[in-house]
Amino acid sequence: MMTFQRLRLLARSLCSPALFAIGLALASSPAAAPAQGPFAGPSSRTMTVEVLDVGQGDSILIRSPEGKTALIDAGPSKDAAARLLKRKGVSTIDLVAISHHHSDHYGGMEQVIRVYKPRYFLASDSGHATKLYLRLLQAVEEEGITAVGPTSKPRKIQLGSVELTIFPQAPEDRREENNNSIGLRLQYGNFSMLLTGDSETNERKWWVQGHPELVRDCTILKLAHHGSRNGTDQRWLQLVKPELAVASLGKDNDYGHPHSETLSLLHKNRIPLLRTDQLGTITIESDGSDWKVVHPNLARRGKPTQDDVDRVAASSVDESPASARTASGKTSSSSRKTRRR
Amino acid sequence: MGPKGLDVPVRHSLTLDRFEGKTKQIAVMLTDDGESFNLPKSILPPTAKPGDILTLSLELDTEQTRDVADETRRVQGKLKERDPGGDLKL
Repeated sequence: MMTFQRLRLLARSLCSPALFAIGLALASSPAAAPAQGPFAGPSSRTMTVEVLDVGQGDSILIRSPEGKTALIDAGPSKDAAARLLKRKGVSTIDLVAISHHHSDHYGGMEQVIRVYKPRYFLASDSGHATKLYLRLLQAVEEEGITAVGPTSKPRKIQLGSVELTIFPQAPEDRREENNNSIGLRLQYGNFSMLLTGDSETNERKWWVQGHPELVRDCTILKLAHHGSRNGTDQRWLQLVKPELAVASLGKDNDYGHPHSETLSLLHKNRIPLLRTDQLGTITIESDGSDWKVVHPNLARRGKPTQDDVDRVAASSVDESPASARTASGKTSSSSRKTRRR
Repeated sequence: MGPKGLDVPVRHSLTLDRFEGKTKQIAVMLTDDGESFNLPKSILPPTAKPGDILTLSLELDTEQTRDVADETRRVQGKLKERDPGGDLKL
């Protein structure tokens, strides 16, 4: 298990690629890997979540151990998501979802629909309309894709052995489409991830009050609204208790994402953050028990030297207060053990 | 239609300051107050050059807004009929 200190170090060391590579190398050290876990390399039990680097927007690819795939959002540009999927060798998609009707989340989805013809299309029936969104819906209709939506009760989608729960939808907010975001909880064994589009305070409050069990204790939190100050709050973090936060955003974006208030909240709660504007695509693998962050570009840089390892170990000692957050109390291993949920 | 008198076109006088970007496709526009913002060169009159003053006129198109909203509702309704309901196993 990678200690919390090392994970924090990993997140902090983005300005130091060598150090970051070490963190990853430690995370994947076969010596400390579970005997039959995925961490000597992906196995038939490995589920993957990739927070794709699509610039200032969201697109998240989920692959189940059985090869089932879901794409949550498709970024802002017309063909970037489809191109990325091709490059990753994705040949079929079982489910696509639009978190909400803003173009930085669905801009590339029409192309994905045309190329991949997924089996299911998940979207809310919010009335926020644009010509571009209408064209996407028309593509879904023309391709004969089965449309599904949130219901008044939590709705489950079994993506192979990965379970996605669609949250009940808050009453439609006609002024702020972000508050019409679809909420999703991914569960795979003890590993979980929370995806709530760009949900702002009102919608999150509605879920916290009405369905706290859906958001409670998630291993990883995708920050809502690209790390905006209105996408995260203290109550939310206290309930979700993520071991790691990830944010999808563009480098030097015009909106100042992530906002300093969000970064302060994460710091205060000792939650490390990984960002696509700094790392590119962020890949997370889990076997349902352990999980790890994989970064192919950096992983290719090779094994760390003993000096590098010593530097990481020495730095970790300085982070001792955070060790209380490690999942099982162990201080060194290859990947992180998920908390029992 | 909105409240009477509020749907009239709004006009802004802008100066085309310069072209930027790898292929000079970004037009940097200056307001009279000195604020700047970018527009794609492709939406400018083809002969516009730095130093030219242009008028930007913005007007609500309520008819098109309504048409797109209505058509979106119609397609959403048709798609909803395809929803099998209940939990799904893929």
